[in-house]
Amino acid sequence: MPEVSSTLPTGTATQVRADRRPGRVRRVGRRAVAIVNHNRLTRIGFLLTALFVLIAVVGPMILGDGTKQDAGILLSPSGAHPFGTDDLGRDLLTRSVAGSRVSLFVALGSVGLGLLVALPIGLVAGYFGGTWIDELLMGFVDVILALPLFVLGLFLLGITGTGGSQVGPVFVSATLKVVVVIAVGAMPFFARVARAATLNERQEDYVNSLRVLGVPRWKIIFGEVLPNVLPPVMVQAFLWMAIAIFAEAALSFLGLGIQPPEATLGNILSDASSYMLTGAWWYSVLPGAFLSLIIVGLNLVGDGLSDALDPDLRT
Amino acid sequence: MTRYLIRRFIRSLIIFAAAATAIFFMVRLAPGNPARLYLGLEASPQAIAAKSHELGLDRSLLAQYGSFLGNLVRGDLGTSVRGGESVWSLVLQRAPVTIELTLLAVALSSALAIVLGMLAAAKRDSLRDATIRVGTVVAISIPNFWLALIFVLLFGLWLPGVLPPSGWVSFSSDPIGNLQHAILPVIVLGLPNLAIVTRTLRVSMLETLDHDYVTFGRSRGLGERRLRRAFALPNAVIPTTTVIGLAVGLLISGTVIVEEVFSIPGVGRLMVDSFQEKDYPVAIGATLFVAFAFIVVNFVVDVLYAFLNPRIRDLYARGGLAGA
Repeated sequence: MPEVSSTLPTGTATQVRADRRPGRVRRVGRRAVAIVNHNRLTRIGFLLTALFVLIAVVGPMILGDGTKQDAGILLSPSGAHPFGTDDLGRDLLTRSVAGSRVSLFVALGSVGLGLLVALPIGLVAGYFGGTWIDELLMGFVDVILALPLFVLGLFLLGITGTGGSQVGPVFVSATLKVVVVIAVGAMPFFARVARAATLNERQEDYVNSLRVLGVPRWKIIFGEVLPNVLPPVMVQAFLWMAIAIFAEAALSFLGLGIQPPEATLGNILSDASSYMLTGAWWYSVLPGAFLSLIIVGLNLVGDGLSDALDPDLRT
Repeated sequence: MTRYLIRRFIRSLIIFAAAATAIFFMVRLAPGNPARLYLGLEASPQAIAAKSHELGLDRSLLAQYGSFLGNLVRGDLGTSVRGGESVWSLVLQRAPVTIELTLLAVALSSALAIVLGMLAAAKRDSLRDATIRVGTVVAISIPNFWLALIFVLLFGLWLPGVLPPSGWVSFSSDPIGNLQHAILPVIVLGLPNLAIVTRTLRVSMLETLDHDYVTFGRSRGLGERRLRRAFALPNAVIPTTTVIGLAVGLLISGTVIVEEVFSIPGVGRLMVDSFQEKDYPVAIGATLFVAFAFIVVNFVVDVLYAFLNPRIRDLYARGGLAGA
């Protein structure tokens, strides 16, 4: 938290802070526990998501990156290879685990990048709601939202080729290209939610008090309004992590995303699609089930969050 | 209403122009000389120089952009690098397949979603409601390409002869075969839409059932079933039209994947194949066509929404809601 009081003349500012701050950490903590325990499905979602993060972070350290071709070709699942092996004799569990790390990276990267762009836009547009600043910013957001982004993203990745690209002085790796394409798709949704929440916050007494006290606008927006706008934005963020993981897998499945030999859950399934009718069912079934569980977990968390924050809607 | 239509139409035109502009500049990001992209990798330097001149690559970027838009307005999408056919005829040849799959998926999944949404809302928080809700989360979460692969495995390997696991026959040559080939792709395509519309209808149904007019009907002794079907449903359906608009984006990504996995000759597959074959005029044409379809559907959904929702319709009829 930025020290608002340091710029303020007297104890009045501390008064404002004191009204809002006591026990904030504990309150947030209690709230978080309440959300996790919201219902059985949310708990399952959090469990799946925690497992996914653990596997993605720790798994490759133990198992390796899944490019080693050190086993028999197309072996069915066994104790040594629980997911079986692929057509090049690589262990599919190792490849799936390595792929889940790419999924986690793409999810955090694209949602993070989307938030980085969308939050300032949404906060500023909401704070100046109804003015030309709001119109201009949201006009820009609405045009992006109306564009057929999936098709444009597909086109961009298709036309620039599957490797990295040189954009002016900057080299953009294949993974980064995928991250940027997904972030552009998520940005309008984040910006709209942030704006709507800011419009509500603007009415609150604490914003008026701070304004009267002469706290600079940017400090009110990013220091005080931002933390209160985050909960509804986080719901969107979790749902978009699920979408991002799906989108990366779909692009890699089509051969336009991240390329072999680097393992991603999408390109494993793309490789598997050539071996569908040979009887190697594990090749597509197991990595795909792993991917599905990751996405189910994130969607359950997003669902539970939106439920807990807005009990009336219960979508 | 006319004013609203004109406004929405102009907005759609602007968005299409923005999409076309984005495509034009993305082509500049492609590695190498665009003339080489058009001619293929084996072209001689002379041919590339000639093609560069023909494409106007020696002119300024602005002039090139102008002629790109000019060709677009005239409907000239160029010719395929591979076969030499006009891109338009390639796209139009493939379009009916994609349109058939998309329409079947939207129509069937929306109809089923209305039934499921009603069933869930009728007994809120019952086991039936919970099952439908969990079902929708799972349906949204399962990646469509994985489900498609499972279907190929199921009907290609384990249950041969029940349903065709891939390929396509046209409706005119074999109507029944056509529908049989459409079943699996339509299920894969429709599933996310089914889930999204079910959830939206459930919530909007619960909200509508809280309205005074429904309570009034109930106090007059009307049955719950009649209240839900004749009173609440017509109003509860309205918000789902906007969601179907959103689902179109999902459907478009879906057609690309479904056509790829089930080997169906549609526009989505044309697009992905043309990238792999470096046939860029076809890739540009197919992308423009899909973008165009996306914008047209959103326009239709907007108009339908305004038409179905009397509050919005009347506002426009009175000339209100300026700037929307």
